[in-house]
This record gives sequence, structure tokens and C-alpha cells, in this order.
Amino acid sequence: MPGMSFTNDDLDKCIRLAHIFIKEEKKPQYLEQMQAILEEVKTLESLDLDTVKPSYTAIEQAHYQRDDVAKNANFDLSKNAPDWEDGGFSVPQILKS
Amino acid sequence: MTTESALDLAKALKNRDKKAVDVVAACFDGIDRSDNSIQAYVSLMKEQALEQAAQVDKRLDNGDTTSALAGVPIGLKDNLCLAGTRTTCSSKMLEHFVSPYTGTAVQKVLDADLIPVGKLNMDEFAMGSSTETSYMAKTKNPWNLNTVPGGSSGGSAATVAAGQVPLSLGSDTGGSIRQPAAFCGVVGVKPTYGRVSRYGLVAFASSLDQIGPFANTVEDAAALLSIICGHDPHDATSLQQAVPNFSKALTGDVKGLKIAVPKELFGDEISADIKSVTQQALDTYKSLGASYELVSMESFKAALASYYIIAPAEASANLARFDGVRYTHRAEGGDTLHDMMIKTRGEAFGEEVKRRIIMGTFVLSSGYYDAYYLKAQKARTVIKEDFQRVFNDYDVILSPTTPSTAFEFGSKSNPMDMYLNDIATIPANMAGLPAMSIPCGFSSDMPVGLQLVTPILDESTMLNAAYAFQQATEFHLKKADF
Amino acid sequence: MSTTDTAFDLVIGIEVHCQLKTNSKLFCPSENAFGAKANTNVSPVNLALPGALPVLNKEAVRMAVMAGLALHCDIREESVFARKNYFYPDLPKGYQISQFDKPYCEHGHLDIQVDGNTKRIGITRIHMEEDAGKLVHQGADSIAGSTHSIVDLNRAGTPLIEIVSEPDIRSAAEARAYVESLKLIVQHIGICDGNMEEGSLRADINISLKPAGSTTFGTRTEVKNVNSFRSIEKAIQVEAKRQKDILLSGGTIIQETRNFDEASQSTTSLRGKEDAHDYRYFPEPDLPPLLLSDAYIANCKAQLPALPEEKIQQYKKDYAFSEHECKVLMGDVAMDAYFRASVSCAKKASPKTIVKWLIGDFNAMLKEQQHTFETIGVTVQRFSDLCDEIESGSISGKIAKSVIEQLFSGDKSVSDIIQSLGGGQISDQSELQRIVEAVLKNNLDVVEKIKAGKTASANFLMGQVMKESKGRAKPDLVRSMILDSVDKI
Repeated sequence: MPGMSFTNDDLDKCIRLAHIFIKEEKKPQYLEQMQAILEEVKTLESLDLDTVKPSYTAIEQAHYQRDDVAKNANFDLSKNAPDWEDGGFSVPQILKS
Repeated sequence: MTTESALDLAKALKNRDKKAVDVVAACFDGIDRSDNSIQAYVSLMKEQALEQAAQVDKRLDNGDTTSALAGVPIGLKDNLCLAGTRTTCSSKMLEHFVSPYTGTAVQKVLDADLIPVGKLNMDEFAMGSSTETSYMAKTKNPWNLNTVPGGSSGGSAATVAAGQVPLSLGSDTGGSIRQPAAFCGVVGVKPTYGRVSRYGLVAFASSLDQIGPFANTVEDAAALLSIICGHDPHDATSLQQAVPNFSKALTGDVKGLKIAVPKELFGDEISADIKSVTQQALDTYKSLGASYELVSMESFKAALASYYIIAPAEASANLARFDGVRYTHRAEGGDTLHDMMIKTRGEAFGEEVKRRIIMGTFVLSSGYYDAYYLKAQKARTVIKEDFQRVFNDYDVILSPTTPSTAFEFGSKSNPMDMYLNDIATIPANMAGLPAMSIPCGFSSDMPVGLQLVTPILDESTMLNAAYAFQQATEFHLKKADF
Repeated sequence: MSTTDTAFDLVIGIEVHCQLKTNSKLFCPSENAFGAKANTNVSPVNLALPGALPVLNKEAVRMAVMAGLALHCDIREESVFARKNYFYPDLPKGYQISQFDKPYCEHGHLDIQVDGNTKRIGITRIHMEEDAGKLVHQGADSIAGSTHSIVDLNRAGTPLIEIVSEPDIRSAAEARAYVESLKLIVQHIGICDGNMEEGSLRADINISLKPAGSTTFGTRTEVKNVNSFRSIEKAIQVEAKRQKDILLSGGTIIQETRNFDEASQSTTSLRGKEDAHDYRYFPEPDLPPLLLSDAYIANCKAQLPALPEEKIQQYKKDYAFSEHECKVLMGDVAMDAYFRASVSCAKKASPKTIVKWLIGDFNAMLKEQQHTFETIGVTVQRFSDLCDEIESGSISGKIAKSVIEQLFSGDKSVSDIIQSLGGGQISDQSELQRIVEAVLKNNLDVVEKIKAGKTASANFLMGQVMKESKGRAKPDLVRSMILDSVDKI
């Protein structure tokens, strides 16, 4: 396990990847808290996991598949849309002009 | 304040001793009076509720309903989608979101003629153990208004404890039903993972989330549980196994029941008071013909760690859809799409949510996946096998639900302190096992909860064991006085 | 034609995305159809509403397995769906459900024909994933310079299979042949429309250069937005040149995604920061692993339609079809299906006869009616009946054409149509003899001319006999009868 602590670079990278925003003055607090949590996470080391298979679900289930029948929902999407234009969701320009 | 059990109320309604419209009207009066203090509700649905009550009255008059709970008012946690209602998850991000569709569990509740009266306060996006991270309201524990009701289903627990409604639905990912049930002195049940459809439950951690009932009595909880369980073609993780009639399992006979008590949940992490109350509960079981033994469940040591990797990881992806584009809050002033998204997510998510998103992003990111996420999923296997080993020799695993009673607002500002609330509840989520909390005593006049965990699909044994304890004690009869 | 000079080898791998033609989406029941009004083919799932969950479409699975079998892949017994996490407005969940380290099939191949040679292109893997929605940029022709964009989620959730080739392709011509072959296959096994213009078949080209003869591959770039076969070749040419120029001047190639711009015939860089590539894949917790049993796969194999290469072999070897005939049939899946059904249905007609009339007059009439073989109203039975009559010689070509007209304009059986046109070819010689003698009697002057040696004048009499017999007489028989009868007079 990378025993190194969670750094500012790690924090900034996660903020970028997750598309969120944290005020500069709050970053040290987040950093400290992340480090504390990751410290606790070290208890995983107490288990011998080398030969263990991962469980991605709690319970193995029979696979369920749907029949290929089409049915559209009839919602008024404009009601919740922050910006609705010409029957679609309007978003600000993607590339900076 | 309603002191009747839901089933008794339903009987009175069925006999037409009471009318649904009157019951619902009285219910709203009660909420009017009490919710200034308790603040359990984010939104109320008086008009719809009364309309629906009128319909249900007609059906009751004609004998058209077979539901054991027809006409009973119910509160719904605000992460449950009900068409036409605000479904906010107590977050600024969804503050004005009106769901266009109804989730399966809620639909089953409606089809069984229960009457939703409002949406209940919670920790933002179900992340928390005190309901303090809610953007909408500050829910108080009816037993002591200076203390938290627990979380994340704080509103769901408080509303039942306060006698506003006899039933509510909450959700449980790491203990979010059981812990508030313990803090508020009510019954709270998390079914086997997959028993109840998650379609319509705003996802927090997909492999852990389950919807479950809050009630004053075990019988009430069992009846509501029966209604919401069942395979759903809209949820590929919902179980196809048949659902037994849980109410029929409540015989009250626990002779020969073998109880295991994990040492790891009976040590220094648990307050002395709670240990002593729990010990008394064990003695009660003994007097009923059950037996108990301390067992070792080493995997519990790593349960918290693996949960705080897996849950945030899944959550970081589940919350990515909240991007300001289609139905959420959208920030002003973003020049480009990217700016808009970042600003939106930056200002509409609270700190705990951001913390977990960062955590989840980190443990999945390139270079760290094996060290954290993969390891945590392996730990999950170990936890599952640990439970299986114990269940080879025992029928029920019993422990305190929480390490302490309800704490004061603001007293656990350090996230790790808050997370430690969940040490007893998390393992059952990791293994997908049915688990519940029942009132088992008091410590300094604050409720103490007893947790029962049984093997996969064995809610019946669990509910019956809880029922037997309830019938032998009177803790469930004591009501909060606020 | 080589697109690089002899100093470099061109190394190409292609990722082809095919939209499966199911009725509904991969993970939800909203309709899978092109051209609907924006944001109408939607459900809570493909809108990514809170609380929505994916459920797998069994027909999409069947179609995907068909593709795997057609491309000779190993089908994995247990494959896993995974979340590919990134933010973009056409990706409503903020992640795409795809498959990562356990795709449903691997290790296949496709044989292509280039310049008369067969070359085997390896197929690394095929996986299932959902398509994204569409962005319509406003205020400019493309994303650059637009003021804002409008999101349409109709396409979000459409089932895709992504077919990834090994980097075995060495020229633009091979690349084109590969994509063309793939297109034919997915069309002919009935799983994809293969329409590059509409986007139901899309190709991303990975290109790199290596020093000629070297075994070490160079850095590759990925070129997107290649929307036609012509673009495939052009994009390879321009990108290869761009890379060559960089390498020859001592520079290095940056691994990145580039956009092929049709207008400027160049590629431009699309992606930016490194960590944009960190998709943080993890197994999809909302979907159990996909289990494909041996029995299920065997069942699919039994139902797999004939592949284009098998059909072409059959048509050339067994039916002696020309290159052109094969090309026409392969180019239209519905026509080919109609053809094959007609071959099965016909009692006398040979495949050669059937194809001649099918791709000729019958197809021409179909087009005139503004139909295609998908919308055709004429049953295979009626067409086959016509072919049988033609084969047996009971009607002339002229009559056959008239029958075709009537096949499209009504419901009558072929024999009824022939009757209404005056019957089939006259096979009764005495009837024909009677007509011939009548015509001769009325044209004694022409008879004299013929007797005098002007046999060409028999043509006039032939015309008269044909007219009298309403075209039902066989021309060569009429001619010989006339000449014989003239002798007798």
C-alpha cells in the first residue's frame, strides 16, 4: 500500500477529476481530514488478502435481462431543466472563445 | 401524537371505526404542532394526502383493499422518488427537483393504500450519521432536543419517535436506518441486500444501499417490510427469491435460539452504560430459552476501512450525474461548460459530500485502485466469510447498535469521530445481511438500541427474535416527551 | 499506393463502433430509433434521473454474441460491465457503462481481400457499451466558435458493440477493406444498419509509424470523426504525413486524440491534460456479471445467418454469378434476403434466372414504386412463381415485364395475371399453325416475295403473327413455321 500520505497534489488532482470546487482556504482542512481517513484505512493491512477474491456485490445473483420492448417515458423535461431551449438542454459553450 | 401501532390503526380503519381522511388530517395537525421543534420534514403533501385518503376511504368502504396497513399515514425519506414531489436528498443540488417518476418501493406503498404525508429530512445525499449535514433543516432527537436524531435517516426516525406518524421509510448504507432507530428509540430494519428494489432510491453506494421501515413495534415493521420487498424488473440487483410473509414468522418463541455476540463490538469502543444495557438484554434472551456466547469476528477490524473506501468510490460515480445540465441547481456566471459544472458542484454540494467524492475519486484513480478499492473488495469477501463461519454455529448475531447514545449537535465535527458511529452497523451492509435495531433500554434517559443480524434472506428469524424480546420488555412502550 | 515513403511502415489499428438495431436501449426501454424529436426517446434511466437503474436488454446480448461468432471470437463465459467515469454533457450519468478488463469476447479475426490477396486482421476484443447523447452546437458549424450547445439525449443508451482490431493493418487500402468487410458482416447478420452517414457505424483510427522493418511500434494517435470510407483513406494519408514530417524533423509524436476535419482535410488535437484519461474504471455495481452458457452460445451459433464471404463463395461457385451480381446482392441486405428466400421458394427457376430478373426489371419497378426490399409489398411467393414461369419458357420476356408491373399494382396470382394478359406462350402448335396460315392467306403478295427469295420479308409476316397471337408466340418457332408454310403454298 502506498504508505505515503495524501498530498496537496493528490487533492488538486481529485478535485479536477471530480469536477468540483473547493476554496483555497478550505483545502488544508480537507487535506488533513483525507489523511486521517486514509490513516484509518490502513487497518486493511491487518487482513491477509493475497489469495482472496474480491466481492463486488454482497450477494451473487441470477442474471436478469429485459425483453426488447420499447416504451418511452412521457415527461415534461422543461420543468426541472435549468435552461431549456428548442426541446433540449442548453449548456454554455464548451470551448473557450 | 399517535400512540397507536400502525396495525391497530389499520384495523380501526378497516372496521370503519376511523376514516382515513380524519386520520390524515389529525396527522397533519400533529405535525403542525410538533415539527417546529423536531423539524423532521423537508416538505409536506397535505393536499395530495387528503385526496388519496378520500380514495382509500372509498376502497375501505367497498372492501376493495386487502392491505394490512391500508389508510395508515407514512413519511418517506427525501431520497425516495415520488412523482410530483420534491425529492431533495436534503441537498442544495436538488432543492427544486420535482421527480417525474415514482420508485418501486414507494409505488408498492401507494398500492398498499398507505398514505405518504411528506418527505423526511436526512444527511445530504445520505452521507452522515447525525442528519447535521442536511442543507434543508435541523432535525432534533425527540428524546432530547439538544441531541441529534442520528443519520442519515434522522427525519425518518424522529417522525416515528415523535408520534407524528406510525411508520416511515428510510435507507441504510452503513447503518443509516439502524443507528437513528437506536438514537430515537424506535424499530428500524435493513433487509437483505436486494430484497427491496432500489429503483427510485437516489443512489449513494449501489452495492450497499437498501430501503427499510421505521416503526414503533416489530409487528408494524414486519408488515411494512412485507409490502416493500419483492423482485423488481427495474432493478437488476433485486433478488428473485420469494418473500415469506414476515408477519407470520412472529411467534415469539426463541427457545434454543443460539446468539453470538462479537467481542469486537463489546469492548472499549462501546460505552459502559450501553454494555450494561446490552448485557441485560442478553439476560432477557436467556430467560426466554435462548443462549449466547461471545465470539471473535476479526474481520470487523477492517470493516470501517473497507466501507470508507467502497462507499465513497461508488458515490463519487453516482453523484457525477449532478452536473447542472438537466435537472439540478445550476451556478450562475460560468463562462464555459466546464466552469459551470465546477461552480455548480462546488456550491451545491456540502462539505461531507465533497469529502466523500474526493475520497472515492482518489481510491479509484490510476495507481491507487489496487491498493485501495481492490483491497477493500477483498476485505468484503473476508467479512462475508467471517459471518458465514459464525452462522454455521449460531442463528443470530447480537450487539449494541451504536457505541454511544445520541450525542449533542456539533460534538462530532471531526469526520473520523463521526464515522466511528458506524462500527457496529457497517459489517452487515458489507455482507448484505438483514439487520435491525430495537429499543432495549436507556442510558441517562436516552434510548439504547440492540442490533440483530441474521443470515442472508433470513429476516424471519431476526424479526421473530426481535419480537420475542419486545414482548418480554416494555422499552418500546416508553414515548419521547418533548 | 503507399502513404508513407519507404523509410517508415504504417501501423494501423481500428476501433469500430456498431449501433445494434434493437427496439429499445441497452439498459432501458426507451426507443432505439433515428430521427425522433429531441429528447423523446427517453426514460428515467437514459436521462440519468436520480434513482434510475440499468437493466440489460436480452436482444442486445444476442446480437452482440452473433457479432462475436461471426468474427470467430472466443466468447467469455462470464463478462463484467464497468463504469468509465468522465464528465461531458452528452454523458448524463457522468459515466458510461462499458466493459473493461473482462469484455464478452476476444481473440477473433477477419479476413480481407486487398489486390487479390487475402489478409487476416486480428480482432483483439469486442465489448458492449452504451452510446452517448448528442450535442448540437449553436452559433457555429462545429464546436469551435459556438456560443452554446443543446443536449439531445435520444441517442443516449443506444446499444453499441466496440470491435477493436489488432494493429495488423498496414495501408489505407487495407483499412478501407477492413471496415467495408465489417460493415457487410454486421449488416448481413442483421444486427446493424452499417450506415456511416447516420452514425450507426463509426470508425476511430489508431495510427503510428515505425522505422521500416523494425519490430518496435511508434507512438500512436487516435483519429476520430471519420465518417465515410473516403474519409478513412484520407485521414490515414494526412495523419501519416503529419507524423512522418514530425519524425523526419527529429520531433516526437504525442499520444493524443485528434479530430479529422473534412473541410480542411487535416487532423487537429482534441484532448488536453493527462488526467483526462483517468477513467477510474470499476465493475458496475448495478449489474451482475453477464453469464453466457455454452448452450446459449451454441444456440446463437445455430441461428447465425450465412456470412457475406460464405454467400459470395456460394454465389460464385454454385450459381456462377458475376462479380457485379455478387456486389449488388451484398450491397443490399434486404434484397439478398429476398433473393435467398426466392431461391428456396422457387420450384423450377435457377438462381441465375432469379438474380437476373431480381436485380434487373424487378428492382427497377420496385424503385419506380419508391420502395425498397425492406418495404416491398410483393411476396417472395409471387416473385418466385414468376421466375418459375420464365424458367419453363411458358412466357416471353415481354410478358414477364408486364407481369412484373401487375405484381406491384395488385394482389393477383401470377397465373391469373398471365391469363389476363391472354395466356402464356402458345405451346399448342396447331393453334399457332392456324394463325400463321391466316396471316399468310391475307398477305399472299408477301408470300410471293418470300417464294421469290426475299426471306427478309418474312419479318413483316412474323410481326403480323406476333400481333395476332398477342405476343404469345415464340419468335423462332413462328419464323420456321412461316417459312415451312410458305413452301407448302
